[in-house]
Amino acid sequence: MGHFFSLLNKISAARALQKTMLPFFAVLFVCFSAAAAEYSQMRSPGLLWEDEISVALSHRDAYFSRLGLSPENRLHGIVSRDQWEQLGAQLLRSKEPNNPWYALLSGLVLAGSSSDNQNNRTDAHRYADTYFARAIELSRTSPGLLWVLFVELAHFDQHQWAQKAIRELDRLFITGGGQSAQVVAQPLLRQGLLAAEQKDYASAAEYLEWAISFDRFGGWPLIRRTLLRFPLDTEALARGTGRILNNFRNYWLMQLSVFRTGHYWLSAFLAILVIGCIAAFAFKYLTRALHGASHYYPKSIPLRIRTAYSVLLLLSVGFLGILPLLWVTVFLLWRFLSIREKVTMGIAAMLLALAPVNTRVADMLRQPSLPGNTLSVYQESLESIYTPRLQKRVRQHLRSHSEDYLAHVSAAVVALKKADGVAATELIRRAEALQPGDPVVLLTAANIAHFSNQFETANKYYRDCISMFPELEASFFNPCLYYFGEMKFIEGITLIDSASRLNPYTITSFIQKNDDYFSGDWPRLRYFLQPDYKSDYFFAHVFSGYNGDWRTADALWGNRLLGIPILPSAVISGILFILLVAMGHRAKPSGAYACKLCGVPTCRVCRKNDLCPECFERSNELRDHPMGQKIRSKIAQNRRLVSETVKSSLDVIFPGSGMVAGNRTAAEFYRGLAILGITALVYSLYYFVFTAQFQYPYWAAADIFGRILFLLMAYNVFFLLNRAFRTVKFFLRRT
Amino acid sequence: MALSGSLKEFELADIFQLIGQQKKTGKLVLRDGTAEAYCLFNRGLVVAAGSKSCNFTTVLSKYLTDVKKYPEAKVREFVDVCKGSPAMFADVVKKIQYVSDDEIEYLSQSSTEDLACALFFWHSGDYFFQPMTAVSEHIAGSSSFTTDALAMEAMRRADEWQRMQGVIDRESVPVVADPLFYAMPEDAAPSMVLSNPASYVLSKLDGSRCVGDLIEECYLLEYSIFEIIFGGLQSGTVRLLSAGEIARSARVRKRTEPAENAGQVTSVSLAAIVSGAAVILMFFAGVVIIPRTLFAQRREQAILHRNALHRLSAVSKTTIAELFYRAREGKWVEQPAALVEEDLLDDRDLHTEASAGPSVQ
Repeated sequence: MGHFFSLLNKISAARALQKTMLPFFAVLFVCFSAAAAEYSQMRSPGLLWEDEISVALSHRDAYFSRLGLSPENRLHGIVSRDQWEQLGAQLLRSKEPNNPWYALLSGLVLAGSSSDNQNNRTDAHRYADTYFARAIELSRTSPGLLWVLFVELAHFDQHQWAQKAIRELDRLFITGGGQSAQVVAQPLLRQGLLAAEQKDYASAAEYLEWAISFDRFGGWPLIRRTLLRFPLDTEALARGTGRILNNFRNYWLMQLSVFRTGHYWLSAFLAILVIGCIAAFAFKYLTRALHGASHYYPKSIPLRIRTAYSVLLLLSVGFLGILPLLWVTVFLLWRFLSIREKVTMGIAAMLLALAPVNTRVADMLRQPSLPGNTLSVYQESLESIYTPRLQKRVRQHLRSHSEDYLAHVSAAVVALKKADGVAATELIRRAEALQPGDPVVLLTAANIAHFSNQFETANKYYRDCISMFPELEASFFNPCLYYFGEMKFIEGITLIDSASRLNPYTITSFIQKNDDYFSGDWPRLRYFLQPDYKSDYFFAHVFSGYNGDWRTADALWGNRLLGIPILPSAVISGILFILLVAMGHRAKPSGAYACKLCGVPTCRVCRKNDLCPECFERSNELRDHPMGQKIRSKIAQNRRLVSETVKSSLDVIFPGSGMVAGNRTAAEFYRGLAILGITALVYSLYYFVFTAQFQYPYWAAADIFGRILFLLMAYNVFFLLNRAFRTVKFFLRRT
Repeated sequence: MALSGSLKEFELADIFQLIGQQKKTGKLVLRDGTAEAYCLFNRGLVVAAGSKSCNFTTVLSKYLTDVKKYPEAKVREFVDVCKGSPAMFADVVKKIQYVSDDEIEYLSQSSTEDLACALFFWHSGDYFFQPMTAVSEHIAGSSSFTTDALAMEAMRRADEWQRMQGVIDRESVPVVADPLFYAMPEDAAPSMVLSNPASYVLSKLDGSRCVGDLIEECYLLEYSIFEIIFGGLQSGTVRLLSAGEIARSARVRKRTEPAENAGQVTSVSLAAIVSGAAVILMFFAGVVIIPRTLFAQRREQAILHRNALHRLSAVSKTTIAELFYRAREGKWVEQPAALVEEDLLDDRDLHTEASAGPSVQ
C-alpha cells in the first residue's frame, strides 16, 4: 500500500506546485476572505467536549486540592526547589499510580528538579518523560483529560508532550469521524501565536499545524501558518496558499462564507459610495434646493441662517432612518443636477432602491449558518464526532423537518458515527425516498452499506454516484479499500488516482493521517471520506431550498424604511426610482438662481440684478465706480477662497467628494468619481476591520489588521497633506 | 543731501521750518521703535498728517459711522477696497453721496491740524524726509497750513495738554450737568455736528462712556476731545464722576442698555426654537414612536436576527476561553471582562448589545 501512497504524494506535490503560480493578489484576497469566512462556521449552542473537559477539570482540581494545591497556590506558584521537593514528598505519600494527574505532577516535579549533578538531572528528566507518557497513556480514551493535559504541559513548557497529548486527542477525534473542533483549535492557535511572538518559529509552526488539523477549512490557523514568517518563508506561503485555494475550490461552505464576507464588505462599499456621492452633490446643491424653504422664515433673519435652519430640518429626517434621508435628499437635489451628475445620482438612487434586495441577499447568505437551518445541522453532523447532545439535536431537527431529506441524511450520518448501522440504513432510505439521485444521499447510503458490510449494495451506490457525479472524489476513494480487500489492486489504484486528481490535498492528507495513526488497521469510520456536495451542485440544486425567503429577510430588514415590511419597501423603492427617472428630462428649476458674485442660492423673488440681496447691497452704490468693481472682485475672490477651503476639507474627510462637488470639467468630475470609489473602498475596509466578527477571537487577526489599518491610514494622510499643500498654494497665489 | 536724523538733535519745529522755507514737496516720516507717523508737505505747506492707526481715513470712517450712521461693515469694506488711501476713500464716499465736498473739506482741515500738531509731541525717534513730485494722490480736501502757524499752534497745545492731563485721563468719566440741554437729536444735521463739535461731544457725556471710549467713538481726535471736556469742566457744565458713581452708572447701563440688533436676535432665536422643536419632533418620531412604539416588535426581531451569528460565535469563543482560563488558573472566571484582561478574548468577541455592532448585512 505504501507504493500507492508515494505515488499519490508525487501527484499532489505537482499539483501543489501549480497552485503557487497563482497571482499574489489572489492569494491575499483569498487569505483575507478565508479569514473573514470563519464567521460562518457557527455551531449550535453547546460546544463539543465541553462537558468532558469540565469533568476532567473537576477531577484535576479535586486531586490538586487533596494535595493542598489551592487555586492561589497551585502549580504556578511552586517554583523553588524546596517547594518542588515538598510536592514530590506529598505525591509519594498519595500513591495513585493510575491517576493521570499523579503522573503529570510527578513528571513536572522531576522535570522541575534542579540537581547540581548533570547525570542526576538527565535521569530526572528521563523519569519525567516516563511519567508524562504515563499521564497521556492513562488519558488516551478521554478527550477532556487529554485537552487539560495539553494545557498543563504547554503551560510548563513541555511542548513536546503537549503535542503528544494533542496527537492522542486528534487520533480520538478522527476515529470518531470528526473534522472540526473549535475547542481544541482555538487554544492551539493561541499557543502557536505565543510561540511566534517569542520567535520560536519551529514550535509555532507545529502548534499551528495541529490547530489546522482541528479545523476543517484551516481557518485562521492556516492563514497564520501561511504568513508565519512572511515574506521569508516562501515555501510555507506557497503551500498555505495552495491549501486555501484547494479548500475554496472544493467546499461550498467556504465559498458561501467568502460570498457572505464579500457581500458584507461590498454592501459597506456601495453604501459608503452612495452616501459619498449624495453628500458631494448635497454640498454643492442642497442650499440652493432648500432656498425655497428659507422663505418661510422671517426676512429679518440673515439668509445664511435661514438656510442653515432648513438644512438642519432636512438632516433631522435622518432620525427616521438613513434610507428616508437619502431618498429625500436625492429628490431635492435631482432638479439641480447636470446631465453627468444625474447619471451618477441615478445609479446611486438605483442602489438605494435595491436596498431591500440587498437585505434579501444578505439573508440568503446567512440562513445556512443559522442553528435552525438544516444545512447547519448537516454540517455539524459531518464535522463533529458522535455525542448524545448532537444526536438529540439532529433528532429534534428531524422531528420538525420530517419532509426534509437533508435532515434524514444528517440523522443517518450521526447514526453511522454512533455505529448504529440499522438506524442509519433506515434513515438514509427515507432520505432516498424524498430526494432520489442526490449525491450526498447516494454517497451516505453507500457509506452506510459499506459500514454494514453490504459491499455489493455499497458498490452499486458508488457506481451510480461515479456515473452521475464524477466530480466527487469520495465516490472514487471510498470503495477503493473494498477493492484492495478483494485483491483487485488495479481497480483500487485507478479509483485512488481518480480521487486524487479531483482533490489531491484532501486525499493525501486523509491517507497520511490514517497511516500515521492506525498503520494498516484503519477504524471503520476512516474507511471513507464524509460525503459533501461540490460547490456547483450545491449552489445549483441545494442552496435554493435553504436560503430563507422574503419573510426571513423581513426579520433582518426591521424598521429601515419607516417600519414598512421588506416587500412593500421594495415596491416603494422601485416606484421612487421610476419617479426619479421620469423626472430626468426636466430642466433646472426656473425659479432657482445662484448669486453671480458669492454663489449663495437665491430665487426670482430675492435676486436683484443677478445678485443676492447682500451682494446687491454691497456693490450697487458703486455700480459705475471703479471701486465697485473692486468690491465685486473681492466678493468673488472670497467665494473662491471659501469654495476652495470647503473643497479641500471635503477631500480630506472623504477624498474625491470635493472634486465631485466642485467639478468644473468633465475630466475633474470623473477623476473625482474614481477617487470617491477608491475612498469608498478604503473606508469600507476600515469598516470591515473595525466591525468584522470571527469564529476565532480577535487576537487571531489583530496584528494583521493593525498593519492593514496602517496602510489605510496612509491613504488619508496622503490626501490630508495633498489638500493642505494645495490650499496653502492657493492662499499664496491669492496674496 | 537727504534730510534725516534724530529728533534729539533737531527739534521738529526746526525741521518743519526748514521744509517750509525751502518749499519742499514730500513726506516727512517719524519713527520711534515700531511707532511711525508722517506729515505731507506740498510746496512747503502742511497738507496732511497721520499715523497708521490715526489718519484722515480713520477720521472719515468714524464720521460716517458715528455721525452719518452708515453701517460699519460697509464703511470698512470701502476702506479695504481703497487700501486705506484717503483720496480714494474720500472720492468713493463722495461719489455715492455719503458725504459732501464741504464735509470732506472741513474734516480734512480739522484733522490735518490736529494730526500735524500731534507730531510735535514726539520728542524721540528718527526722522527722514522723502521728496515727492506730487502729493495730491495722498490727500483729500484742499486744506493747508504754514509750518510756522502749525508750530505755534502746536506749542500752545503742548502747554494746554500738560494742564489738561493734570485733570483728565482716559479713564475719567465725564458727565454734563444738564443732559437734556446738551442732547443732540439722533437725526441732527451733519453740518450742525461739524460746526459745533463741542455740542457733539457734550451730547455723548451721559456717564456711560469714559474719555477713552469717546476717543474710540468720535471722529474728533484725542486733543480736541480733551479740550472740549476740559473747557466744560472749567465752565461747570461738565463734571467727572466719582469712583462710586462710575460703578453705579455701569450697573444701570448694564440693566438698561438695549441689545444691539434686538429685533434680529429675537427673530433668529424664535426661528431656532421653532426649528429645534421640529427637529425634536422628528427625533421623537424616529427614535421613539416608530421603533419603540409602533414597530417595537419589528425592531427587537431585527436586532435579534442581525446579531444571531455574532451571538453564537461569541458564546462559543467565550466558553472556550472560560475553559482555558479554568484549566490554566485552576478557578472559574468571575467576569467575562477577566478573559479580556488575560488576552484570551477581545472586547469585540464578547456579546453585548453595545459590542454587537452591525452584523453581516
